[in-house]
Amino acid sequence: MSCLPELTYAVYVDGELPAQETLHVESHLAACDRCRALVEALRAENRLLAEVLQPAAEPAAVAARPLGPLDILWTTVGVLAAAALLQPALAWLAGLSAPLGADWLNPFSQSGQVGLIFRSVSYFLEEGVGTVISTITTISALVLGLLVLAGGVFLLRRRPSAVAVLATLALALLAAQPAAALERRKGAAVSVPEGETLDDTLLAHAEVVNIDGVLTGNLIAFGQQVTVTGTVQGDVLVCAQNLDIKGTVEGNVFAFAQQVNVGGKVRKNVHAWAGGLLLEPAGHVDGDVFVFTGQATLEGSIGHDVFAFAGSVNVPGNIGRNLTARTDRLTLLGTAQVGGDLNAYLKNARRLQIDPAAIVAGETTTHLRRPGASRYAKPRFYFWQGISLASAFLTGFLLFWLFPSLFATRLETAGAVLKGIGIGFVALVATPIAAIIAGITLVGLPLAVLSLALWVIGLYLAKIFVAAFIGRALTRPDREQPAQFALALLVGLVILHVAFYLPYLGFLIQLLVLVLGLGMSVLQVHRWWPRRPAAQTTAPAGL
Amino acid sequence: MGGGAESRAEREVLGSLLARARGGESQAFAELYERFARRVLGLCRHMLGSEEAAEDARSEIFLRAQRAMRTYDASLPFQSWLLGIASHYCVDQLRRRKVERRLFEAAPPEYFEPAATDLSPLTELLVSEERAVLETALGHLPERYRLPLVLRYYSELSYDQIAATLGLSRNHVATLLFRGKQELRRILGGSSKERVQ
Repeated sequence: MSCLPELTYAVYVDGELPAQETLHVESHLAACDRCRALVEALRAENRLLAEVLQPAAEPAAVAARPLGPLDILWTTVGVLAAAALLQPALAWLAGLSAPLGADWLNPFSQSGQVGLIFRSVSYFLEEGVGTVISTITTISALVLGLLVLAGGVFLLRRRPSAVAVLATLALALLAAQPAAALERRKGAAVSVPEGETLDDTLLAHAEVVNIDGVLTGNLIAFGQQVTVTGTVQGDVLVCAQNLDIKGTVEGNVFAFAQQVNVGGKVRKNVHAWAGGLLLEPAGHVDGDVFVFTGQATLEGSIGHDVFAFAGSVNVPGNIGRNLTARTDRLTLLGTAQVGGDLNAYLKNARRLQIDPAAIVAGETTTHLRRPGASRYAKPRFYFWQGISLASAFLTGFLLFWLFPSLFATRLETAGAVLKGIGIGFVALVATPIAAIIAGITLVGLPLAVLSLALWVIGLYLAKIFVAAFIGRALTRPDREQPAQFALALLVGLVILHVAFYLPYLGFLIQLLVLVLGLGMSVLQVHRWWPRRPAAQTTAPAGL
Repeated sequence: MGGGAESRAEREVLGSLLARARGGESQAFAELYERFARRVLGLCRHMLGSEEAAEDARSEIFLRAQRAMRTYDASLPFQSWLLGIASHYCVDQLRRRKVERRLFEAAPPEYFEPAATDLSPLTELLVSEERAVLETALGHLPERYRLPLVLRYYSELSYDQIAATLGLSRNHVATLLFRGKQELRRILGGSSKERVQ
């Protein structure tokens, strides 16, 4: 009998040959020394392959496939492309801040400042200066409330049409909430007993607030101890020493408290500004968790992302998506699971402890913060803020004194505000592009430089215009009198300066102020146009 | 590889861990992770070709495995089940990279090798080779050869299982394994040296 193909022997050695063929092979092997030797060698080869493929001592690896010339080429092209894309953006950002050294008005560089805020918050919390935090929180809430109030009052006073706009907005807000009336309850203890359903939004002000039954609306509670063991179908907004959620909250949780414990279910997001947050093992949050706390312990499960700004973060539980933590200490215990990426912002890499058994499905990135005290802890920061405020005030006042009509632009209706924002946005984006295009031609170069300079000035003045707008809405001065204008401007500037440093919102407020102020500048230039033609059209602020 | 040498006690411990993990106990699954993470990482590394990609894949595979724990049939070896998930995941990843597509473009195995008169396996050559050299050679193998070899000799999958994982016919798998070894021989020493009279 002739010898069989090697492939057949290879399959035979792997034990994958059909029974009949196996018999055939074995009968041949019994008679053929050479093929027997081959089969033995094939077996040894398989053993060797298996042995080599076994994991060697961790983390030794089979050599990763070396980079080929194409890989290197594409990587280089990628890096160059990224650099080319980034370069104008970086230049643009540099152009925003460099000429005036007014870094604070560049909203695009605020991420670092926001980071500093949270760093200082966690710093304060760690140092036990709880009062500082509560003061900051109160001021922030107050300023935010004032801003909203000022806008509302201003619009209501100006035009009846604004009432319609506000009414529509209010209706939209109401539509987003469970249709519920408002019930106010005060006393030593307020409770919705088990078995009872309160078909309202409950505004409770008491030492002890217990929701054991069902609340179909929202729970707004101020008290020492607030406990939810029943069900709240709307949102929970609580300002209390302790908040315990053992039941179910169908909406969001907003908590300002010393200690927040979540042992039940929250169907949407949890926002906690607290000394400590504990998501108990049985606790479950379907949405995101935002924590601003001294200590956060996440033992339960979270459906989406976690953003933690805390002195320390412990995660023995399960996070469905990403975990972003700005903290001094982050610990992932062996039972921890993160379904997405882990982004840790720390001072010290050793303070990131991830148990080998912890699972992070995505990438783990550690951003080390430069050591040093928070910028907000240094008097220098407040000194420069004062300088910035004073210079903005003086500039605004001088402009008003020289050109009172400059501040004549009134945004009397919601539509006008939106128009201002729209125009401002286009001016913000289109001006540099137009300047670059003009700059390509040698003839247009001076025009480009001039328009960019005016654009930067416009960016600086944006804050002043909006500050005057807000201040006037609050103080309602007679704009013919400089003293009253000065007061309005000062009030507006102070409000904006505080608002710019609100966590998260600060960035958005800055962006909004920038865009709206730029829009107001353009509208004013447009008004001036027949009497005082500006040098060119691309400048949003022909001042 | 691996599971065969387990003592009875170890098997019992593993059985209890598996039961607890199937019941949803995350601590038990964490222990399973500890036991099998290295093995899964090895497979991912062989299949995906880089340490970084392997690390990422391992995390995802264990998350998938945890979610799928309830569907795990306790009568099957856990390692095979886990490596099955890992193999599928890695193939998916490679398919996304569009590298794995080559597998399907390979010629179907409609031919027979000549009689094995003067063929010799890899071992003759390998006695003198260092392990690292073979590892490097494996790393250089095209995906279409490397994957079946890894699934067969690392994951210990049967031809049918490999065929199902890679979406190929059983005969095609046999041919790819065979050619993969031939290619290894070629890389390691040149075809002329491989032949032993």
